[in-house]
This record gives sequence, C-alpha cells and structure tokens, in this order.
Amino acid sequence: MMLDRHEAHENRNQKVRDTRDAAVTADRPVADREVPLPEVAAADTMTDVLNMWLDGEASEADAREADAKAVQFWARVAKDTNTMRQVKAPTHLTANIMAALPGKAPLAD
Amino acid sequence: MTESEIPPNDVDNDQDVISRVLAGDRDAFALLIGRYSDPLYRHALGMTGSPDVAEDILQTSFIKAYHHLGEVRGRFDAWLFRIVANGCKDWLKNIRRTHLSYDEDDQPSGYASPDEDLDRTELRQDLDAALAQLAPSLREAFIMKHVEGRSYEEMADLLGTTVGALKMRVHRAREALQALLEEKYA
Repeated sequence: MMLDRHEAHENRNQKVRDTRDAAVTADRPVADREVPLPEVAAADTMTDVLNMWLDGEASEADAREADAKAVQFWARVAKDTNTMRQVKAPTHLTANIMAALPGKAPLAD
Repeated sequence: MTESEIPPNDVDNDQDVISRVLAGDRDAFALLIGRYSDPLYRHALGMTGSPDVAEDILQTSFIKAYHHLGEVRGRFDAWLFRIVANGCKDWLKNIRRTHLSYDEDDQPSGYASPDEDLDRTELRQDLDAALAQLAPSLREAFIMKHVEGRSYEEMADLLGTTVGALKMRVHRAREALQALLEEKYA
C-alpha cells in the first residue's frame, strides 16, 4: 500500500522544514519576502494615500497631508523617470538586427 | 508600446506585416522593429540598467521573434514583450547566480539620446542601484508603471496576471525604494 509521504512528514519533520524554509528565505532579497521585516515595516511602510496619489487615485494635497517628505521624494523620482521615458533605442539597432537575420523567411506554422 | 504611442491601425497592421514576412518579404520585419524597439529598449534598460545589455537583449529577442513568427497567436506586441521581458529576467538570474557585481561589471555606459549622458543625475544612479536590489518581479512592475507609464490594466494584459497583484508589486517596490533612498533625497 502506498502511503502519502507528504502527510507522513508533515508533523515529524517540522524542524527540518523550518530550517529549510529559513535558508530559502535568507537567499531572497528583502523586497521579495511576503512579510516585511519589522525594521522596514515600522518606519518605512508607505501610507495608502501616498500609493493612491502615485496611482492617480488621490490628490497631491491629500498625499502631502499624510507625508509631505515622501511627496517631495516621489516628485523627484517622477522627474527622473519622465526623462527615462524619453530614451530611444540606438539608431543602429534595426540595421544590426536585420543584418543578423537569416536570408530565408521564417516558417509559417 | 503604450497604447497611446501606437496608433490603433498600426496594432491592427501587425498581422499584415507578419503575413508579408512569412510570405518572403524579409525587409518588412524592419517595420516591426521600428514600431516596437523604443518601448522595449526602455523596458530592457530599466530592468538591466545597462544600455549595452539592453541592446543585446533586444537584438536576441527580435531574432528569436523572427524565427518563431509563424507561431504568433493573438497580439504580436504582447508576444514580443514577453520574449524581451523573459530575456531581461534570465539576464538578472544569471548575473545573480554568477555573483557578478552589478555596479562593477554592468555600469551603464551611455544613453542613446544626446542629452542623456549629461542628464544622468546622482538620483538616477542611486535609483538604478536601488532597483537592482529589488526582486525581478517588483522591479519589472515598477519599471512598467513609473518608467514606461503603463496602466495597471495594460500591465496585467502583458504579464498575464491580475491588476490587484500588480498593484501589490508596485506598492512593495515603492516601499522598498523609499526605504532605500528617502533619507538621502527627501
């Protein structure tokens, strides 16, 4: 008879699983973890109204009222990301790609 | 590649261009490159922080797209975006696995528009470095929202996930970036 190995190990190997999970979590960047670390959570968690403002769902005045410093910070970031939005692909890119393509047409599926 | 950048008739015409290429008009593929290279380059540049790597990823992606053009089903722009996005994620995985230092080995060497080198501010460098510390999925969501200016709906469409999940990723990316940079810039 086959036993369900997952169930059999579920309780007995809790300690092993805890160690393994901790090792996996330690490899991930902080931002990849589902639960914020306490030191990050307390002081740095953004307010909902700030996220709403950045998503265009709340006014800047409301956001300023909640966290004026953060609004100032994100305004600076926005100025920079707007510049990044104007970046264009190098002009030689199309020619390089076309030169690297095979002579014959791709196969129609 | 935001919807506002491409006239609707161009999107409709993708399939016509693909048909021409498949019928042997190889040069027509240049139309697709010209149409989508700028937004895809911005995505790759945002994800990798390196103009050279972004260019390589785009070149590889377009060549791959050419070889598999007959397999396109549905929207070509979304299909192509996924090829580029996966290329960026693969590069990020490899650079982490080989423990190469992002700062030392892939420092952005220059930007395509003439003013970009001059405008490369300290904040930009710090933002690049902070973005490099985020998980690829958070970085991708932040770049798509804040650099590419896409709506959550468009992002969900391209990435095949929900608006709620993407909002969560963007919010977590903002939290992490603010925690990393606010002290210096606020």
